[in-house]
Amino acid sequence: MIDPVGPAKRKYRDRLKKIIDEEICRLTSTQLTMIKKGEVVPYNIPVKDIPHFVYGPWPGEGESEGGGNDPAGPVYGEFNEESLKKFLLKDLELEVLKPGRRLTKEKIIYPGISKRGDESLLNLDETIFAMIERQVAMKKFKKGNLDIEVDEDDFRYNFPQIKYKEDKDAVVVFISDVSGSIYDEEAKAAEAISYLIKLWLELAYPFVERVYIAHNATAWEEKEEDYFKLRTDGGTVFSEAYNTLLAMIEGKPYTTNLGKPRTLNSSLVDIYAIHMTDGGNFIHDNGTAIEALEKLLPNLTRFCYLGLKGDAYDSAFERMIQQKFTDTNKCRTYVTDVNNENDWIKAMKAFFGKVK
Amino acid sequence: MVSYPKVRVLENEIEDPELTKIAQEISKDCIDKYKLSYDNVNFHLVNLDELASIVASHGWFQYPQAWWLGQDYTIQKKAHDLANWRVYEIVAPSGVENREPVEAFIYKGNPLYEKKLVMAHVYGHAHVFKNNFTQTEFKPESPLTLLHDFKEAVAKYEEKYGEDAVELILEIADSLSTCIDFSFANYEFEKRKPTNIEELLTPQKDILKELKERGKRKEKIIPPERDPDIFKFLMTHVEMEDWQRELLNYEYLYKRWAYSDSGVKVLHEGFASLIDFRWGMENKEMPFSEAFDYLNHRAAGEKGSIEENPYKLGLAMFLHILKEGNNNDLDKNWEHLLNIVATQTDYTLLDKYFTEEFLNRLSLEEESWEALLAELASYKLEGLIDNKKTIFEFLKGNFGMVKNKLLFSKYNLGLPKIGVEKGGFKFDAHDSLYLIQDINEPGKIAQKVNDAYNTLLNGPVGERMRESNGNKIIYLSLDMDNMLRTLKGIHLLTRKPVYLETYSSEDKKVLIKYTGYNKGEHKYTMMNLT
Repeated sequence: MIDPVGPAKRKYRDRLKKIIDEEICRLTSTQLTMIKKGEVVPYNIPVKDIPHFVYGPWPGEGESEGGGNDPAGPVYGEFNEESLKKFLLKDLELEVLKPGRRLTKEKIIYPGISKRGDESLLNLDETIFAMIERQVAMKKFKKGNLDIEVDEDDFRYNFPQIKYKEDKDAVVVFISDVSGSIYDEEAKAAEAISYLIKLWLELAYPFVERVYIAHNATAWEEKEEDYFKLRTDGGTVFSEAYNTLLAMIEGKPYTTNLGKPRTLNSSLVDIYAIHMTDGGNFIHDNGTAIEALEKLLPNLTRFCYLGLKGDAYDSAFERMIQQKFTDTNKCRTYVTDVNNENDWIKAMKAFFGKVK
Repeated sequence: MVSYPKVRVLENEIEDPELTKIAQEISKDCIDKYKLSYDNVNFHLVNLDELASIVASHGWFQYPQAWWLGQDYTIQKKAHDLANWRVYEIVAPSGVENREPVEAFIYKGNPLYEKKLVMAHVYGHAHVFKNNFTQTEFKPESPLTLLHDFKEAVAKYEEKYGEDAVELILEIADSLSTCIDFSFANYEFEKRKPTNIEELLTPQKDILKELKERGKRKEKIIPPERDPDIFKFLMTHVEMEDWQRELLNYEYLYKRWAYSDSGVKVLHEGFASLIDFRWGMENKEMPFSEAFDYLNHRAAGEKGSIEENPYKLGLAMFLHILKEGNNNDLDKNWEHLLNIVATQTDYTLLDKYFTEEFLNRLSLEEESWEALLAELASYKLEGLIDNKKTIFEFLKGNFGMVKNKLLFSKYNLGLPKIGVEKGGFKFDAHDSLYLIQDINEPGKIAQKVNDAYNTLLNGPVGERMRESNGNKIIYLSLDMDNMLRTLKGIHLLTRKPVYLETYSSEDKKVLIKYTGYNKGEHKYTMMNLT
């Protein structure tokens, strides 16, 4: 095997890793939504050249003939859901989520044999052996002529032991503002970030249930497929949305488009709530909303407030949250500029990054 | 009795007796019939992965391990896997008599007739390696040992000083590798400057030794004359650690020789193509149609600019030279051709033999040379040329311009001539370095290049080229991005401001003062000198 390229391959791979990380950071909301739909997003791996003095025009004087950092045709890669997961897990340095402790049955093992037990646990082999042993001891055993005569003492039963594992399922509740002030850009950013949050939670929890609450002046539970396309008129009242979530937790009636209301048991599942809004809450509702949130918070594992900064962003409620709830591990806020399409890394770090 | 060089065909380092026999027969033909002379040749049959790897290392078994070697390998591997391009053969021009054979690598998946023609082609290259003066002028005593030592030194210093520090020096060294005095490319063997002959006598001058000698001398004006060899100048004058100088020296010795290839690209590929062409046509056992297909595909029909694919131009010129003289005396013409191969460079070859008669001959065999004619006319405007006839008419009408463009692309290997100005080292209170782009050299050659530039840019065609953005056009200005990044490397070495006198895209003389790189931005100022 002729291979003059030895350690150079490893050196290039190290550099390539940096390039790939840079490229993945450049993914836009639109591209993240493409990955969500199962498509792959191709990207060019730029070929880094060593500079030399060569003839060529100056910028603004036609196209450069002298090389520069032209992307190479054949060297390209593809991003998919797996690469995103890998990036979230390894490179983003997020806080490792620990599911709340709850014992669930994993499997039953039979480590021993017992003389007592349920009929269904009868171990026939062991019973026959016990019978033979008894016959031998009592000198009733005849070689070549086994006499099947099972005594009550001969019965042997499997001894069961239940193996438990500690885990918990998660419910992520997306609360989205669908009032008249939300435009396509805001909705797109919200969809991209909510997709990433879902991916991140799925890495830590065996099962993540998704609940979608939409609100304007009223709030209701919405179907997943319609959620991000939803646009309505009307004002914005946050307390309605928080009360809807509270109703789910407390098992009270609430409005739903799913047909059947659900109950969330906060002792059995970890509840994550993500509120995505442009902040334009009805001003007299701010106090009520904070009160509702205060009631809600003990039931939640984390509350993330995502401000979508478009043309008219109102930061009043965000400031109130920051003043009222100082426990940064439970209640986190981040404001994303919807025109800046690749703000998602900062958002993820704000919501799930390590607390310093 | 003629002694033939030892030829072997190896697969996984084991000799293939059948193919070795074939290769020896072809070699015998080349030596007896075509009077070639070359050193021992090893052919290696390689698979695609090996081919990608060997192409990345330019045919060398030993190569310093820098990250861009890994990048080149990745590009080659992917391109070969996707069949974007395929390298027929790659030859390492080692060829030290009886010690280091020429190592040629052939893709083992090629059919036998292609392998045979590629072997003949390789012998053509091996002949040029041994006989052309530019190929031997800067040749290290043992190229393989040089590269081996270079590789070992890189590994050793990486362990001692860390990968980043060593790779930085290697990057700067690679960047400076085009700042060597390449004036050899502009003269044929007999007409070179006397200074170059002096260089020829001591091609392996040890830089470290020279540095020590320099310490004894007292020079006030450094350099005493404008020095066209920036690389060597910096290596000998700038203060740095010994290991850094050692790595720069390895790169200098290797690249000065490796770049001499670029000065004879047309000649190299043209002659090698001529050998496989002659052997393919004259060998009775070779199926004619297959040979013709290969030759046509290889030399005439392939797309790509003359810089990327010099086969077609070289072959056409050599065929013209063969037919130009006495048609009945092929032997005499062949002698003449071998003499040309030994004594010319691309620049002088084109200067002498790219004539209107040559163009006329091409037009007679227009169909065979369609791609070449189109390429020569490639600085046409879209829509200017409607059909084949007008291509030729266009070329005839603009012969001077076409020739000048070709000469310009070959002058000084097509690279800008930049040097350290007389007294330009530590010339001011800040110990700055003064570099100058040299276009007004005295002498006939520079005049031709200037003419080329002026005809192209100021003539009617130049006017129209300027109008249509993106068409081929020649510039005397330096590519800005590359220039700043190269200056960054020089600044890292000298740690002092670097001045560069150069030209803007509008041919205005400008002075650039480069003072460093910080937070992703080059720090430089620029002022007009005219």
